[in-house]
Amino acid sequence: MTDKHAIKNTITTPNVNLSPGEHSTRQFLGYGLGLRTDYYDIILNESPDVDWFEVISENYMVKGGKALYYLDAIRENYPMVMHGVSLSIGGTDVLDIDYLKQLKALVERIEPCWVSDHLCWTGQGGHNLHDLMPLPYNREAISHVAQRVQQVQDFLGRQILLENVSSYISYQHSEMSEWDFYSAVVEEADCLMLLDINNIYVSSKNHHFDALDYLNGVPEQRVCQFHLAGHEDNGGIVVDTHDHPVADPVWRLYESALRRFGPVSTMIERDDRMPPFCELLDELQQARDIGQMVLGTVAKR
Amino acid sequence: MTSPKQHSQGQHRLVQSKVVPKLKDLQNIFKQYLMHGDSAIATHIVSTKTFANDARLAIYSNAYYARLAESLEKDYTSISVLLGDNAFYQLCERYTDTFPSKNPSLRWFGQHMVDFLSRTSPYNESPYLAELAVLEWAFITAFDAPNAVVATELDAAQIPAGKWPELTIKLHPSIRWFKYQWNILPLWRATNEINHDAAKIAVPKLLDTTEQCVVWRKGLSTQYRTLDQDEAKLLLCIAEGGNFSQMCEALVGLVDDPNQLPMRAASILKSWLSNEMISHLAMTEE
Ligand SMILES: [Fe+2]
Repeated sequence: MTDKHAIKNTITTPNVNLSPGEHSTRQFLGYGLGLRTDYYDIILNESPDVDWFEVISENYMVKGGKALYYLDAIRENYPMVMHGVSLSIGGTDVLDIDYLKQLKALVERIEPCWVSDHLCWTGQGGHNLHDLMPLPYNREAISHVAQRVQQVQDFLGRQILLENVSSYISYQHSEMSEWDFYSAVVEEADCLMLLDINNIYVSSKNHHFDALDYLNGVPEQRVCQFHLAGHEDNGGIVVDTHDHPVADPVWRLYESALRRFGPVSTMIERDDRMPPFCELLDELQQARDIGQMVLGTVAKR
Repeated sequence: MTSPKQHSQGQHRLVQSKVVPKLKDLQNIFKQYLMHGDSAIATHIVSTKTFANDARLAIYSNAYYARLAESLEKDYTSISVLLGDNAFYQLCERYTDTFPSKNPSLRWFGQHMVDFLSRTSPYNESPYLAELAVLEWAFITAFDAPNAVVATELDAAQIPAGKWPELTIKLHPSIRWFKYQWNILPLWRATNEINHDAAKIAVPKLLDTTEQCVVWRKGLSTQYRTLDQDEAKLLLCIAEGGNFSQMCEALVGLVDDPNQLPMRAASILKSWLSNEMISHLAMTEE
């Protein structure tokens, strides 16, 4: 990031309004971190060199108190994007209108650069499982999800980003690869992509595919954001834990992703075993260095 | 957290389902597995040489209970410390089976804990557990209760003497108070010390008399303290819509000299004002 403030000036317009193919208009926010309670004070008091923050939408669906106070105060100083975990876009219950209203209210409060959630289901029959459950990769699921994304986009009045999740199972009745499924959903729904590089790695290990095939198989112009995170490799299976630093093979995959997609706003997700903030800054610097190495000085779309 | 609920593992299921289930049915079958251990989902899941479908599925069921237990442990730290890891995890599993989450936010998942502990054996045989849950849930709800302006002593000073009897008071939305019979405050403090020593944690014991505690948010931080008997009477009076003269009447019997009633009520009010417990003082219009 060379000119942080120039970017801050552009983020007051909340709508991304990306037409596929026009990736020159895609915002490159630089390198961000997740906004987590452990770091509220340090972020507010020391204005660390982080280009933007990603907030977990559900954590701010409250009436008052500390979370909203810090959210508003930190938003004054940084661009933000919103990231949800409970939209259940692949779910089969009707979309939760109450949830959507809260989401929209938060969008109006934060004016985020964009809003994302996961390509998965998180509940059924009125029960919330609080986990990112994988979908079968078939035609039925594609049209089902695409149709729901359109409902959400109509309600919010903006495009959303869908993120690929880590998975540990695959369904007998899947008909295609995860990336073909993912691509078909975003094309049919006309929405955008948040590629989680760690999740691609985790799933490639668990389901024995080549992660590069995944990167090469998704529509380049729809990719707006990357996630990086740590995982736990148990030998037999790799679990997406967000409690470790980003692993070496994930850094290498990130490098490949930058080569394929060019500059894409990148953030590191850390949700457990929180390290001192300076360690996350060092890790973010690693992402910047790779970005610099791959992209040179042309760091903006 | 230890000993997550394990579903049967290690058996390859070679039978495949021939019928392609509708997405809705597939999700329901998967949910039944997570919530009730129903293994019908296994026939829809691929087994690989290195990792059988049962073992793959177990990752999801273990994560289901572990994640919800983690949320309850954050909400009810005192109870988890008092019970110890294993017993608390067991409690969480039973709670999760009784009150599965119906809200997109984990914030609400623990809302039935008081109910659960007061009705479920063996927990209801230790009534201090439910009382601690009342306290811990009060902290959670006060923490993110709606914001509101706070009235100050200066506001009170500007009220003409003649307006006082009709004065009505609006409490800060974060205020909640409750009665308890066990030594829950020392228990809570001991179990919430950063490096608490399990051996030194106060022993649960019945109090000589019932006490009341008030929890509220001052600025951004959650506060608590015991209520004197007269304060408790006044809070109740205000909650029922009573004005200042009715507050004074509520103190009859608790103050020796009836002429001192307004003074006593005003001095309690003053301490509440300075603690940001009042959001509004309303005078009746002329
Ligand atoms: Fe992610």
